[in-house]
Amino acid sequence: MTAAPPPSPSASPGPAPIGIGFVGAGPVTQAIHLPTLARLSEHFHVAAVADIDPEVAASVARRAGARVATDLDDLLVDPGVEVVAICTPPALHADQVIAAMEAGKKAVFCEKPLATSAEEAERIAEAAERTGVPLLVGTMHAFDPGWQAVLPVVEELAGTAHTVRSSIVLPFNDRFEDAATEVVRRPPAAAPTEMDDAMRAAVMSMAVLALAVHDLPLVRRFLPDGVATEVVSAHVLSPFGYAISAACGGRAVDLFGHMNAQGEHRWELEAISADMTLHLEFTPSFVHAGSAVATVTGPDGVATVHGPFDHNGYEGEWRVIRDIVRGDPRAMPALASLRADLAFIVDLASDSVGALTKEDA
Amino acid sequence: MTAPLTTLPDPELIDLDRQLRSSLPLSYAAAIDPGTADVALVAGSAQWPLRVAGLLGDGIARAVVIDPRPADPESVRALAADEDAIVLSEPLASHPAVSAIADALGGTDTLVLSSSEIRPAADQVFDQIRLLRALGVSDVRPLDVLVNGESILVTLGGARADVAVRVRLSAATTRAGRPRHQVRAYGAAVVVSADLPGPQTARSATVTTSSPTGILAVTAPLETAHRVTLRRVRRGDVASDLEGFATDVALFSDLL
Repeated sequence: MTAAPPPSPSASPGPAPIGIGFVGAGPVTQAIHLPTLARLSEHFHVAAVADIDPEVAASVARRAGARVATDLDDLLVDPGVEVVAICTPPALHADQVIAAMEAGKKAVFCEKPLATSAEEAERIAEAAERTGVPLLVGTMHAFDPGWQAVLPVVEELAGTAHTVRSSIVLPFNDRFEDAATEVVRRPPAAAPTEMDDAMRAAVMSMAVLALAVHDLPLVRRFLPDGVATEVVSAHVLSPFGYAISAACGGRAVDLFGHMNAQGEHRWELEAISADMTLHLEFTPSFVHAGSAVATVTGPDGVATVHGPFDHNGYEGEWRVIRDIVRGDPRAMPALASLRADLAFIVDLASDSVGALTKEDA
Repeated sequence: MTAPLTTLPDPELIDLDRQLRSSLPLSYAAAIDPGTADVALVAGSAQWPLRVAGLLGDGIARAVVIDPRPADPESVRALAADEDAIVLSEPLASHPAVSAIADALGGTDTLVLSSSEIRPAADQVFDQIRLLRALGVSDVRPLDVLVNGESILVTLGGARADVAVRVRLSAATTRAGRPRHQVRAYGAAVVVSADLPGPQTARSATVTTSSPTGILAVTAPLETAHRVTLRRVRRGDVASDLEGFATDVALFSDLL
């Protein structure tokens, strides 16, 4: 079982830090969540770490002052693990999230994508509703202070925007992983394979579920509820990326992503109406470089800038988990919103695959 | 020092003519006698080829078409014999940063041109098509288009320097803020970016090239597209590709 949490570095007495159990100790856990939790050490401690590679589990557990867990089940029966963080490959997420919720944990955190198919999405939503266990997905931009600061503008643009643009341009992950931490045993890169139709479909699916997914919940905020999104076209880009055109309720949705071997990042989300533009520029993944900068511009040319704030969406999502566990009902993400996000993401991935043409050869 | 060239503007270009001449006072002067003007500034609105043909027929040595809009391709091609006397001055394609952007595109195979401004999205898309040609993209063919009132998304296939390229055009109409025209190009190990202002400002554009070895930034001269054109006319080093313009009009018509 888990040892008692370490004494809080703060001199003031407060609630004991919340015990977190990680299943999956790869680069995301190492580079994102452990450094984030270290910034919030008065609220959290890492109780246990499980990984398919026992050496990785041991190394990561050691640095976090946690015990090594054998597997997810080991975490689920440990009362010291109050929140389960699922950071395993996407194919495992649905079953693991459901198991964690059925184990009655105080909250479950799952890295994106939460689901990879409509069937998985429905099972998760059903379990969430049945168990009532709070579930939070690691789409960190939704918790970014820059985005949070302009939610009133988002609400206005939800009714008036005619164009939504998401553009994610990043170096391959290892560059920023290494900027954030010293990674232990990075998973081997997949060997290049011939880009036949099946591979293109797989790449497009991954592009949506692993890259575009970061901002799809935000994009959905500008689209009318209950109206299907039609994917007009989808293209796979080299070396890894996508260009997707979609239409929803009179909005044009422009989704673009590109990952490559250079060093710069440019991560933008934009909503445009006849009289207003909202432009967000996010900091890159993995590093703690503060929040997005949100710029709201009106017809008079006056631009109002929000941010950058000191912390980013990674810290934002863990703060929400803290509030949930501490009993603040306002913090809990609405299940209806979770279901809608899930459906939007999964459907977009599936429809984008369906829209691929021979032109991508 | 040679004498300034004299200009004869169309009525809707009088203010532009005055502004340009005031910034190039040794190169240009107002024509006192319209019949002896050296350079006609022709508004690029509909039927501009006919207007140009008429001016050249009246003896004007050179016609500069300001912001040429799509016109009947055959009427454009009919001007081919006088191509050396015709100059197209375009908001994006004539911007001083274009040569720096073109020079930086080696190693890229994906181009994204993204605009937002007050003009109709279709007008913006035409300017983007013209910019593609100025950047050396050829054999352009449409793959798909989404038209949504105030917004247009286009995907094109093309080639540049014998490399197949995928092009994305995005245009949105808004009264918010100033015109924005983004140029982004991507390759396996390079990203090129530039933000072009509209033709009404000499705000500079910086072309940034990012590669594994670092970042190179080149700042274009602080000059409007039309001033660049007039200086080139003065030097005699401007060439227009009217066949290319006609081809781009046909592509635009196919798309929209």
